[in-house]
Amino acid sequence: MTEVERQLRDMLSRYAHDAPVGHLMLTRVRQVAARRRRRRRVLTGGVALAAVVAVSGAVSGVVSLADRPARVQPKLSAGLGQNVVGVEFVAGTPVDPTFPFTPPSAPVPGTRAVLTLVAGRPTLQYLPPHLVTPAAAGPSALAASGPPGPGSSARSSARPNASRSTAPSGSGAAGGYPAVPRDTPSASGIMARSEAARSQAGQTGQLATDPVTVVAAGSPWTDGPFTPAVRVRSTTVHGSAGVIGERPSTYGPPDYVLTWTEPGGPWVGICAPETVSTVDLAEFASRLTRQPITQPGPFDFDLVPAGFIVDNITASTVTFRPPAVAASPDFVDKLVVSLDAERPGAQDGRPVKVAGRAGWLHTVEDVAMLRVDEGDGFSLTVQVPRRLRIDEPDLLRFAAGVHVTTAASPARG
Amino acid sequence: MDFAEFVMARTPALLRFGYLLTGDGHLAEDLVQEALVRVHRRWSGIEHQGGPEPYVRKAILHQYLSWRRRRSSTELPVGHLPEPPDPAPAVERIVDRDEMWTLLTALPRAQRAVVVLRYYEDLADADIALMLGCTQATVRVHAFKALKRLRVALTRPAVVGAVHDRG
Repeated sequence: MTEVERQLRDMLSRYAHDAPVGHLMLTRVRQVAARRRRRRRVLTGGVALAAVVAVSGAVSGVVSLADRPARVQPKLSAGLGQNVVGVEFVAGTPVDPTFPFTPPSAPVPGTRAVLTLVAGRPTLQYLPPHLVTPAAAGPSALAASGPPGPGSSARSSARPNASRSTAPSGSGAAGGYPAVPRDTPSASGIMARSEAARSQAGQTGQLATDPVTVVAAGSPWTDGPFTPAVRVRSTTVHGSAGVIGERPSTYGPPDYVLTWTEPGGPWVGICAPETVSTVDLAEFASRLTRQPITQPGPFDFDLVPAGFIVDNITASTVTFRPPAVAASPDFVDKLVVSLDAERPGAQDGRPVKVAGRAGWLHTVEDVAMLRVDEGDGFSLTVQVPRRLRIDEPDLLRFAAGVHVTTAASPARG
Repeated sequence: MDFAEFVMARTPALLRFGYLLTGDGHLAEDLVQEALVRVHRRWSGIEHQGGPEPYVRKAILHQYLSWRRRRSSTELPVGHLPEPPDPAPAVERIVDRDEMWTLLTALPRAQRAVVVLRYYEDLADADIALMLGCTQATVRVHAFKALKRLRVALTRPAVVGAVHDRG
C-alpha cells in the first residue's frame, strides 16, 4: 500500500465520524413510506376509493386501540420486553430539564446556553443569540451571573387553564432546584413562539463552528460524540483526572473534547471548537459549580404515564420511555408530545374533541397520532406506538392534560 | 430481524457510508432515507435474499450515482491543482486530512465511490464490480485515475520541522 493509499484510508476513517447519527431515520422513513403509499393508492384506485381506504384504515387503527383484548399478550418489539400490557396514568409532576452544575460565563463570548435533556443526559449547549428562541432563552441569565436568585422562575403557561400557571413564589423551582429565569418573559406564549419560529426559519444553519456543548451522564460515554480521536493532554478538574482530546468537526478544524468523572459522579463531557484554547476549556470546566440549575419545560402535564421515564426534553418535545426501553434520542416505542408549527386539519385523520379543542386522530404504521389545534397555526401532537396499548379514551384524557408553556418553541418540518 | 430493528441497528453505518460518498451530512441523510424507503416496500422479499444490508448499500450507491445534477452541489470544484512537483526531490508528504477530503470531493462520482468502497469498506475489486455493475477492469481504472489525481495534488517537497502549538 502506498503512502497516499494509507493516508486516504486514514482520512476516510476519521471523516466517517462526522456523519450524522440519524436518530430520527426510522420515523422519517415510516412517514415518507406512508405518504407514498397513500399516493399510490390515489393513483391506482382513484380518489374516491383512496378516501374510503384511508378512512377505514384510520377507523381500524382506532378500534384496535380502543378494544384492548383482555387476555391476549400484545406482540411486542424486542426492545419493549414482554411485560407491558397497558399504561396507567397518574397525576403529573413537573417535567423540566435539570443540569447538575451551574456554569460560569459563556466560554464563547456572545453565545447563550440552552438546557435540554437528550437520551436521558442533561445537556447544556451554547448557541449564538439568533439561534436561541426567545422562549428557550432561559439559561442565558446564568451565563453571566451564576445561579439565579429565588423567585426568578417566571414560569407561566401559554394556556389560561393550565394547572401550573405560575411558579411557587419564593422557590421558583422544579424539583427543588433554583430555576433559570427567562430573560424575555412574554405575556403571550404563542406570540413568543411565532417570533421564535420565524427566527429559526430565517437563520438556522448559520453556525460557523460546533457549539460548545456540556453533557452530564451517569456513566462514561465512551462510544458517543465525546470520544476523542486523538489524545492531546491530561488535566485535572475538581481534583479528578481529565483528558483533553481532539475529534473531527463538521466545520473544518477539529473540536477539543474534555472529559472527566466527578468524585462520586457524574461523568462530564465538554466539546468545544478549536477557537477555545485547551487552557480556557480546562478553566471553564473547573469553574462549573455543583449547584443544580433547572429550566421550565415546554409542557405542563396533568397526567403522566405511570412508571415511564422522561428521556428527552427540548423546547418542542418531551418523550416518555417505558422502563424496558433504553434511553435514546429517538421516538421509537415511546410516548411523544410535541408542539409543531403546523395547523392540523382534516388531513390528519378522524376528528375528535380534546378538552373542547379540535383534534384529529389517525394511525401511521403502528403509531397513533393525535393532533390538537392550539390556534395561531400551532398544533400539539401526541404520538403513541400502538404496542403501548393506550386506548383512545386514555389518549384523549392524557392529551387534554397537556398544557403548552411559554418555554415551548414549535418544531418545524 | 424486522425492518425497524434493521434501521435502528444499521443507520449509523449506512450514514457513514453515505456521508463519505456525498461529503455532506444532509445529503447523506436524504440518500439513506430514500434507499430505506424503497427497501421498506419490498422488505419481506429482500430479507430472505442473503440479508438486507448488501441490498441497501447497493441501493444507496446507485441512488448516489444516478442522483440528478442539482443535488450534487457539494461536489466542490477545486480552484486549481497544485503545480506538478519536480520529479527528482519530490516525496509524498504527510498532508492535512482536510486537504485530502477537499480533493476527494472533486473526484467524479464513480471514482469517489470506488475509493470509498475500496479504502473505507475494504471491499475487493470483484465485490466493488458487483456493486457497481461493471467489470473489475473498470474498477481498477477508476481507482487508478482517482489515486493518480490525489497523488499529483498531494505530492510536494517535504516540509520538515513545522510545529504548531494549539494549547
